[in-house]
Amino acid sequence: MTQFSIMMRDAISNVLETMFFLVPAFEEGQDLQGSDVVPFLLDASITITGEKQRLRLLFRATQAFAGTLTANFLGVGQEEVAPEEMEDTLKELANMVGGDCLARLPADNWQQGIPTIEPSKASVEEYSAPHMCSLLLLLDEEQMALIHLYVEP
Amino acid sequence: MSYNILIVDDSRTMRQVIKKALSLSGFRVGECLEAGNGREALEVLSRAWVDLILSDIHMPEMDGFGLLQALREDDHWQDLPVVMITTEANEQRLQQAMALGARGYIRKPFTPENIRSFLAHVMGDRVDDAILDNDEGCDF
Repeated sequence: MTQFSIMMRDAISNVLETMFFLVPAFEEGQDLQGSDVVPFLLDASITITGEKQRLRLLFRATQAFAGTLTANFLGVGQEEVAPEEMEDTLKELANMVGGDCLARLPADNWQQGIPTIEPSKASVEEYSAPHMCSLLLLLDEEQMALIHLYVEP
Repeated sequence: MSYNILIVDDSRTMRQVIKKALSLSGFRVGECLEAGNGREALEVLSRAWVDLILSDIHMPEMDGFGLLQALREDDHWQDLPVVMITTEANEQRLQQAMALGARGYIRKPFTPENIRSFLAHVMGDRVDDAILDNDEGCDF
């Protein structure tokens, strides 16, 4: 695992365990694309901009992941979760993981951007930026989300 | 004594989560009020009694820094305790909030226990005095 993968894994685990009461497992791979693994519902992303680099974290979430995450976050049943609450929750996840990563990065006067959310694109190749690493997130051995870290020009 | 708390965050979902965490923390909460940004927070302050503000930093229209600045410039509100609840990890930005009068900050992710002990400290309570012993508190 690269340093960046370890940073992402630790930040995501910390946020999911503390705020969402979920204990994730991860698989790592440079070639993980996800589109042929699981269908995604929503893509949340956030930028972290330093003086030398600009990073983008992209979370591709399945409906099951978005539903579980939101229900746990709000302390309600999955049947009570509204679509806009799922979007809000995934943005908050990106925001919190971005902040956690920022605190773990070597000093570079990093600034966190505003998280965004949109319906999942068909393929991750539509995000045209050099790709640093990817993690497949599993809950109870089920594939739930794919997280990519990019270095943007 | 219980405290009226104003939660300022542009995410309605996050406001709900903070209210839930306050309730679970056992911190003695009277009324929970909400605002979606700094400007809305100032409107709430003009019509309701507030003992403590919990505010995000990154918000549209008027962010947490703008809110702190506006409170500091108003004789009526300059002593009102404000605690930032934020994902911000840039130390300079956090120090900027402190310089503008924030009493401290709680980093997300947080637990109800983090909130309880920090707010009791900020409000000058012994922690035990600030903990509810029944089901009173935020209604949501």
